[in-house]
Amino acid sequence: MSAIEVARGSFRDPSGFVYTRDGTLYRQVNRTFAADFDAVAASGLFEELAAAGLLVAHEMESPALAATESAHAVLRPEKLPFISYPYEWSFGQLRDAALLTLDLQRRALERGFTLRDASAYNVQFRDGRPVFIDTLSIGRHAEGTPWVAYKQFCEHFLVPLALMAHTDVRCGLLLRQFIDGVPLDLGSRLLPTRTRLSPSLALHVHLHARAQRKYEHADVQSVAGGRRMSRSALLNFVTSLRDAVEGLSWTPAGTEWADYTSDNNYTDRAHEAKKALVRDLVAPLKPRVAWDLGANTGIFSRVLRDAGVPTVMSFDIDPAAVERNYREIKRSGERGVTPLVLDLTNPSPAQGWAHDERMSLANRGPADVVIALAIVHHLAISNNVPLERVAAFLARLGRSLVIEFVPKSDSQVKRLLTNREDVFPTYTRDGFEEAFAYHFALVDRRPVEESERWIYLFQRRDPELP
Amino acid sequence: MYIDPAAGSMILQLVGAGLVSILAFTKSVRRSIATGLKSIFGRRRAE
Repeated sequence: MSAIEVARGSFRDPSGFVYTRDGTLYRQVNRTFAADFDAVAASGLFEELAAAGLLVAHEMESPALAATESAHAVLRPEKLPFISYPYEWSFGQLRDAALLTLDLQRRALERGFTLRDASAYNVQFRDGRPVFIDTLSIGRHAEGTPWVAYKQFCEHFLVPLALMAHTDVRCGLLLRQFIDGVPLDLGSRLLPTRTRLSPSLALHVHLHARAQRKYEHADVQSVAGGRRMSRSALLNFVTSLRDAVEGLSWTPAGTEWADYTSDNNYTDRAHEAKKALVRDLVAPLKPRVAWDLGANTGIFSRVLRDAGVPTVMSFDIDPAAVERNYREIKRSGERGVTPLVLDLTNPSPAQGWAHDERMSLANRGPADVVIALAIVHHLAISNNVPLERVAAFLARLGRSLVIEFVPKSDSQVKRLLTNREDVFPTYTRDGFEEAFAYHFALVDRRPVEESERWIYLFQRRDPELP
Repeated sequence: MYIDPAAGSMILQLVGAGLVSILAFTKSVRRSIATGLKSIFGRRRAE
């Protein structure tokens, strides 16, 4: 008997769904979508988009592998090693995901097809680059009709990007609350008045919000006087949206963490020694997936990648650091590292319908190895998280753990304690080892040259943890 | 996925299509002029 498990977020679309069968990922195309799917497949658009790196490739599989009797076809798409969400992306990542979506819509329209939705969740980051994953979003375009996903595109991409660019980059976190996009009316209210002078934002956000409010329950054809929209007019609309997205920019600068690597207390020699140490500890584990927590701009993520780890997720709390990390990947063309925004003290929760539509960070693990360098003092001292709880959570995230202990004598910890009472008597190396001993077995520990810091390699004790 | 087309968005596209097309045309003319000027002055500078 085969074990079939439907992907958690894959239940809203009657045209098909994603599932695993005996660990292999499949996408079922339902009979209700057969005509659209066959038309797109026959056009060669899937292959064209996959060859251009815009869409995940898929293989056609035997219908015998279908999950239900309503199947028309079964695809086996490429399986991605990590699923991320738009509220975990930096400004540049969301912007590139928006441009990818518009590029797909343009290519689809040129072939007589259209994107039936423009959800940001249709995009994932593979090897640090955006790729469209929802093959069934592409369907036949009905001549004369507008883009059905225009509002969704604006709410999933344009509004949050405009807020990040013109109001505050932290507005990107609104996507965590509004998982179907930041409402147009809210975006219009939160954006500065000067954005009304920008023709593209005036049209696609402010006027759009007013139109939506005014005509929410209107009969489209009677209000529009029987107007139709030609394909060239639609393409012009897509170009206009592209101009709007490309016109938005944000420069990461001046935050504490984005400047950290040039502003820490390591000597160059100690820094190089720490890199070698991490490489020596991780390489023998031969991990497939590593999570670098508190990665900053990704220096140690690249050490892991260069040590042979094929997939490195590079998390940091600071959107500026993540943006710099992402820009470096784009500039250099390197692969293997994907940066994401993550506040470890309040990690992405399981949410959406029945708490089950979007996975929590822990649900997307465990990674083969987690590295947590220079963050334990921030968790334990800045955020008052007891070391036992730090250990318990990290044991849920990874099978192996490389973690740095930063003692109170270190200048960075002294800085944290400058203006506060030291209520952390157990924050010592002994206390640290004792706190981690319940969840982890100690494999190795080594001092970092020219510093008072130590790096530990732990193996979690409970292999049954999810 | 099948989504709510949102009446206001559909109406805005149908009504605004003409304006957007004019803006797109103006932009392409502006780009062509800029490219033309650049090629003329670029060539002179090269000479």
